[in-house]
Amino acid sequence: MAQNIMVSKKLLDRLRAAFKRYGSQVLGDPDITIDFFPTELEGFFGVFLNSSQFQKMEYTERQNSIWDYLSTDPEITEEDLRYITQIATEAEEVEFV
Amino acid sequence: MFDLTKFTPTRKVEFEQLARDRKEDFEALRDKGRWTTSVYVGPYIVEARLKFKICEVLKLERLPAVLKTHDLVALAIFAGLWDELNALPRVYKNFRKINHLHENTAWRYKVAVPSHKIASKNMNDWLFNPNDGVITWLKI
Repeated sequence: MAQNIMVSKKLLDRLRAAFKRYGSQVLGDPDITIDFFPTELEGFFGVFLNSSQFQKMEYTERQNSIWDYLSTDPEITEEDLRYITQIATEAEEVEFV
Repeated sequence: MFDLTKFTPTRKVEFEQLARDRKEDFEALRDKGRWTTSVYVGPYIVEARLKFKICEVLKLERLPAVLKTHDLVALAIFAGLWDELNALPRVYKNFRKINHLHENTAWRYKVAVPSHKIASKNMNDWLFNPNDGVITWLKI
């Protein structure tokens, strides 16, 4: 993450742990990978989750699954989620035609 | 350096109408079972409505060109709706799901398949759920 993006490392660590729990408990995939990426808005960031288990879910169902989980995770508050602009679950490989 | 005094050619009233038009397009596509394109079109209802709201709050007839963005979070901030949105966590969650899909250019190039009916149904819910839909909140 770019150095000028002011995001608490503690927050990112807490979110990373929550996404790991999501991977283990919901997807059955403890090897889910979690990356944070900066956005144009300073202080805001996106999340990229990668798991082979996502292939079994329809695109928007993944979004509902993740956000529903975050709403119930006891270690995460609404405030923690405030600066996440989006959670991506698939790499974009678009051939422009 | 970006010229802060430039404006988009699209007028406030056109953004207002654009949001209504895209809503009708979204509904017409769903009525015809054109699920894939409906998913792609849905977020534009939010984008157009927010651009209208920005013009309204800034008392401008045209949108400042510096706000020519598809980033719904940035648009909500400049529309003066950020705190209100954060006070509505369920709406905000739907907002971010829509924002992600809007940023994912892959949807422009997806071939229509029947399984996208689920995505369209979810998009419809994120937009128009009577309790926490983003467009329900933005009131078209």
